[in-house]
Amino acid sequence: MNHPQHIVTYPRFLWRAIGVATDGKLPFYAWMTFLTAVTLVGINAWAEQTVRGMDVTGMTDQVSWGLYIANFTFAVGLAAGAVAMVIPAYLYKDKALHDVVIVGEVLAVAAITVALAFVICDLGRPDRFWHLLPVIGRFNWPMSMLTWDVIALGGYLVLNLHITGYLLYTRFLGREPNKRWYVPFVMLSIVWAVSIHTVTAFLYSGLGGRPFWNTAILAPRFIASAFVTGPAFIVLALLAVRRFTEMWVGDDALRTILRILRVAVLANLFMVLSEVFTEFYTGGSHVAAAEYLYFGSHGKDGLVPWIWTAIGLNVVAAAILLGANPQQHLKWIGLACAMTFCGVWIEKGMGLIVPGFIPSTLHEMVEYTPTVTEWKITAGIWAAGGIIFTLGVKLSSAIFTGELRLDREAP
Amino acid sequence: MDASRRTALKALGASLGVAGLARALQPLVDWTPATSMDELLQKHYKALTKEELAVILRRLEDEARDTYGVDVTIEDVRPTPGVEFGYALNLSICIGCRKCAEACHNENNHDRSTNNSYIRVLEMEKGSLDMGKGSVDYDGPVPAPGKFYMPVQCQQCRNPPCVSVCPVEATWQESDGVTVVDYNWCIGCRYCEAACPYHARRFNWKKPELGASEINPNQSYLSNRVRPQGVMEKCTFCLHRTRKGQLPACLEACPTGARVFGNLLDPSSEIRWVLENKRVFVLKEDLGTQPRFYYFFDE
Amino acid sequence: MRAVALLIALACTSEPIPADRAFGPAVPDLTAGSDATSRHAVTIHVPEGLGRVTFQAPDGAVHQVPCSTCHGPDGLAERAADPARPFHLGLTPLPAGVEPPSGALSRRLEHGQLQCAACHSSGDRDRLRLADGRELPFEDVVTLCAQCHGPQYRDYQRGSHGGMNGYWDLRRGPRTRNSCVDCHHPHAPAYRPVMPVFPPRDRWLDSSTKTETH
Repeated sequence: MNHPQHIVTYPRFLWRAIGVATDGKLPFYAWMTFLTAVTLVGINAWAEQTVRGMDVTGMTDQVSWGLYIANFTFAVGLAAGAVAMVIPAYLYKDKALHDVVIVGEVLAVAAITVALAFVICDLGRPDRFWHLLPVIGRFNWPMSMLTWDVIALGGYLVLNLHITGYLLYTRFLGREPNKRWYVPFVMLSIVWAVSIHTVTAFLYSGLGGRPFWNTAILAPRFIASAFVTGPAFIVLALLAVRRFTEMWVGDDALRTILRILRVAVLANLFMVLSEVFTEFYTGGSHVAAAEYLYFGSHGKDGLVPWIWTAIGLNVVAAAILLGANPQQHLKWIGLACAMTFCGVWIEKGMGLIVPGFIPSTLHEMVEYTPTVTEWKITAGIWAAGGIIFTLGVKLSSAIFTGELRLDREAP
Repeated sequence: MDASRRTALKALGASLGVAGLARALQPLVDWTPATSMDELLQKHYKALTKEELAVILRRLEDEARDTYGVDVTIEDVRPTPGVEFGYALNLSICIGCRKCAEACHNENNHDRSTNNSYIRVLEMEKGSLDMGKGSVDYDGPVPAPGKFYMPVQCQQCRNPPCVSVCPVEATWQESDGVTVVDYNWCIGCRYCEAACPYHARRFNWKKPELGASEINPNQSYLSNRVRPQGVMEKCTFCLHRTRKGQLPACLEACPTGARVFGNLLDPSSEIRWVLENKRVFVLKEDLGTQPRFYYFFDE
Repeated sequence: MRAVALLIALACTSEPIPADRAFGPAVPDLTAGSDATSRHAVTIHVPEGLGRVTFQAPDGAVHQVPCSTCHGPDGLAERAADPARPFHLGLTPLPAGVEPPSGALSRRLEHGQLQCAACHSSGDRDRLRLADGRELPFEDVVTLCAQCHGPQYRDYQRGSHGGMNGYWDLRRGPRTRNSCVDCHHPHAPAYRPVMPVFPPRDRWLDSSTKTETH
């Protein structure tokens, strides 16, 4: 590879990529218009929140984190879970997965972007975001777990951008990617994926004043649920890719992911069970938050319907996934994936972040309900993530099918 | 569809998108924030020279005049060497009148609309220290039969979890043991609020609302100046008073004298007498936070 | 005078204070004594109208009169209060169920088994009387209370009982201490229940139901 050439071809790659990304049939435009509209509504709500203060959210000094941090946690899990495809593809050299692994990488990029956006929306002073950057800010590393998270998430984003960018660009050039330039990074990203979610779990489990989070099982539980959401989302995405693009997705790939999913969904349920047993059998004030979450306490039960919905979804999804045959029951598998995705979203979001604050450290029972502003911003961020993911997959499919190549002229 | 028409449609879509974005951001554009460029680029408190800090204090005084229409003095009061503050509270004689919480509210220029205060008083059931049996919105008359009262504020831990977790070092422990916040450096992530086991930290969910006549004009940078929107705040043991030798506002307001304040390093101080002669305890000792705030009973 | 008071206080204390702690420089000098040069004074607040009786005359005017107005140096004998003098009404036990009129000195005498002469000099009604017969001005009422309430007096001296204002650091400024009778009515010293001020007004309390009271 010589550099002068890249100076010419790389801008052309970007230009052509923009062309592909903005080109499609009517359903594509409808989908993108929808996502853009939702994103704009979210941006508007965020602008409003920045002006008027976090008073427009449902958060209080008792429940000081809510929907944003819940979604942040979930999105980090999704990004970590995306690696579930990478592990068999690269570590076990699973041929079937090799070609679709790019979908996982794109998911990682989109989910990390979503996670970072949720952190920024949760800041009272987004104008001071630069304080949080290493070197130019004042970085409380290694003491603060949040600084670890900044490194972990930023590093993961860069890693995955590099891997996807490199693979797509070389394919665009019509060359075989040079292993030296991506395999070490893929290996690193596997370790890194586990680390982002471990660090995110440590963010909570390190707080002695919050008994609900202060448990050693939190990080393993996070990893287990990440390995549910990541593959579940990818199955859904691959089904969509099959349907809407020319990219080839074999049953073998789906079967491998399903195998991961079956183990993960059980492991996740097992860890929830371990947690619930320890809490309730021991009792005492330690159980107060879990009691509120699962059964309500002191006449307050705002989270009870949520958590039982989550448990129901996860249990039914586990049953379907264990019983279904990928050749015959693809629709059922898709349904189960959607169910468990939603189940973990509730369990890890409203079911994990919010009860950490209820009762408060002075045992006040203050409940939390997100406001419309919070829902708007949340929807906006996910829609923005959807745009990144859609475009990423569209671009990958165009390149992998050979539609987009340097030696082929743009239509 | 031919290529040129397609390009034209794309351009139309793109301009619609940009217009939409501009419209979505309109609230930010309309906003004339109090945030000046100087404030945006202001350095961390500890990185400021004396001269830079002096300029900032004058700027903050000007801003207070512009925003709240009142002349205030904002000082930078530093800790005294050889002084480490300690606080003790006699639960036998606290009657739960909440005058300390009110004094804190007035002294520290808290938002008027929320009755914000760094002190929360718990009505507790006799025979138990279980806060789960307590309540904060009790009504009078107090003391009610079968109850005792426990005011809780920042415990000024020797091992403060809030300081460890802050990602930007916006909060730290000073040499006299007071944990402070640089309101102009805090990013408002509220991690410290999640980490604090004593509900000692407060977030400025909105810009504090105060009338000109309600403002306490004797202010300091690290304590009771009116906080900006979107940052954390906390009890500083009224450092703008106590670092000058005065008693904290909550102690002066206490009608029964349940509160004892002083220098832990002075063996002849009242606080040391309490620690050595009363049976004191600290809240949530098992967490290892090592508070400088003690509770005791007479009998 | 002060030393005597302290000795009496010690005699009444069930838990004796070690001598070095009781009289060392550690004790804030309550009467601004020996080392007042390096430290500012601690003054004990004298409540308005101490040693006087406040009452409302039939014409509505409020008067404060010293006890000696009626009780002369001839040692006017103690006698049951004249119902025509409302300021005395509360000083003698009332029959159960009878409420004293407003403006009375106190609801009733609720101070153990004490009688007037336990604390008031029979000879000079403008002075107080210690248990050993010596007399005190009203301003030194703390010493009088300390005769019986040793532990409270000890805690008071050490700053852990009774309100105060001013400086914790006496090298930098003075302090004012409340007198016992600022908070405890001498004739009914039990601390009266009060209405709490300043209820929490968090957003969640406005909209939702109040927190559970158990």
